[in-house]
Amino acid sequence: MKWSVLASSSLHLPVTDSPADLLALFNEIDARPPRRTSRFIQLAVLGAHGCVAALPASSRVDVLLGTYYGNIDNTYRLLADVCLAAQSPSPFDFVNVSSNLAAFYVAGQYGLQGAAISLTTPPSNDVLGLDYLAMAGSTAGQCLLGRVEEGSWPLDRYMKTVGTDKDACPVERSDWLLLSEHLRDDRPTLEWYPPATLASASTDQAWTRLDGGLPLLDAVMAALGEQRDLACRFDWCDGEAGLLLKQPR
Amino acid sequence: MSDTPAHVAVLGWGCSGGAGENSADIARALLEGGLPEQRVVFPGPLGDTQVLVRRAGVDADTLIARALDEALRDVDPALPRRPDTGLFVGSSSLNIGLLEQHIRDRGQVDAALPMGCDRMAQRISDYLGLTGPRYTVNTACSSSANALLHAGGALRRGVVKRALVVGLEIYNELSLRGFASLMLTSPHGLRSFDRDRDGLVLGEGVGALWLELADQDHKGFRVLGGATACDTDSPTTTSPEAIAHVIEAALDDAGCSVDDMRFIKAHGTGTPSNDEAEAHGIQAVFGAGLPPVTALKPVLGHTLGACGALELAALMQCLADGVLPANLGFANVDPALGLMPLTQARQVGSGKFLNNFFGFGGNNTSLVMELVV
Repeated sequence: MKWSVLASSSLHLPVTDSPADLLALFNEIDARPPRRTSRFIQLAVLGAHGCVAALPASSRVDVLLGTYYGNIDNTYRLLADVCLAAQSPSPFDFVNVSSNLAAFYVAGQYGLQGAAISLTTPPSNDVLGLDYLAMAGSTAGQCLLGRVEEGSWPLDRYMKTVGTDKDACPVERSDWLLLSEHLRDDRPTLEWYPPATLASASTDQAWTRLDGGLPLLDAVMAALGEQRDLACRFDWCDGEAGLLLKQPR
Repeated sequence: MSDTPAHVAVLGWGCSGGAGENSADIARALLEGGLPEQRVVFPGPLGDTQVLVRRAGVDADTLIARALDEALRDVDPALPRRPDTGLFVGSSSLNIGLLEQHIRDRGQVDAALPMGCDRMAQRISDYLGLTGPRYTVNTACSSSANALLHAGGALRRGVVKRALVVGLEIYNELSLRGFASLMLTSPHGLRSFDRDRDGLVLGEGVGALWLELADQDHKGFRVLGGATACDTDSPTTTSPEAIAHVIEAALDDAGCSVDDMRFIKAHGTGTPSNDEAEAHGIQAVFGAGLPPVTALKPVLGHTLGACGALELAALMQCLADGVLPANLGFANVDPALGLMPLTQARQVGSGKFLNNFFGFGGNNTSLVMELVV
């Protein structure tokens, strides 16, 4: 399973005592946040900008957005409203709490034509959605593959929820790869090898042993930024899987 | 998807929910008519009375266990636990119902809440002792239909050898209040495509499907193909054109023509706008050759992300008994729709059929299936 990486982009914001100002970030890219949207949706749209802003309008691109916690901040708030105050959500709050709307708004904001899927895998076998993309295929031939996690406040509750060490600084993140099934010689390639096929993986690189999920994502993004190859092995289900990133020769 | 000689076969199915404890119960409700006796009458935030198709006193784990046990009844118990078996869960509200219970029990929203969109899939995985990959798809009301579509792709591409598809939606007050806020709930009952339809009735339930590749001569149910596409015009509604587009893409993927379809299982939410868009969308594709159209939500309620797997499990049980259920509750043709759904159950045998599922976020999905007897 092999894709050309047409573009990549990342937005990482430290989670401190108060939320970072997303409107300022929209201003930096001369854009407005989609109306009546949540922070989670806006993070997704902001993060994807660098990947797709240069695409022609109405490009055939599927959106596959991975997240573990989804709209965690809105979910906390709406649950408190409903369960503790017997208050109903506003229509937009209710609609936005469905995390799939982030994929919808990414597609809408950038004029992408295709499917828009929100996906969660357990942290223990998270391979950035590449496995799911390999299964589902992309009818559009191109896929914008993302991982979005938002912060939540109060900070103490959020850090306990996500299991962040008290001395560590958690980050909100919105990382994206624009992948094509049509391989191009002038672009890096990303290959995923499930356990049964790992023996066939060929690389000149020394293999790096990683955890799946965010460590894997960070390693891929770093290698793309530094324009170097990467060969990672990690546990996946009951075996060891691999991921190869190769720069164009 | 249709270039391999083997078929994606549905070798087991099960469901449990407000309309019945198992697929036979639910099929009986679909064929005999009438909503289930157990309902919750909810004093709505706008003063309306909301009606929820729900069996009181049945918890999430019971619903899940009933559906899974039924779907896997004839499956070698070792197969689901193998690492090349994939779990594909589709849900809209995920574990919100369990979070609500947790908050009410503790009287606060705190860090002990089990947040995370994988929690229900983890519950299923733990119940069955699964070791393979697992995925939770959230595309609102098309969630488990997409889970099925992509599980079929995974089988065809050989990424997994077997797949368990589960759609689940557990009662929660947030969904009830949310749909009431959107003024999409009916105080009277769900009447798909009827002139006097006035909204949806929420349901709860779990549907489960067991998939494997099977030979050409396999008899039973097959997933021939399908398509999903995002209509980015509105987060809460879709258009006839977008629906027509996804139906045509699904037929193309399945290698079928409109003339091949024996009937259509519509999404049929009973809301004015969705039914209108769906009616016009299918009429645009099928024209004068429109086959019988039926919807199951008048009996099952709208089970949101579960409706893909749950409605298909219930429908397959009816079809296995040789009967296509009618679109119950329909009384008057809406001149704005010009659609007359099936009002009497009819005998059916082998044939291909189209299944529609649409959700918030412009998520439109159509699946083409076939029964070979």
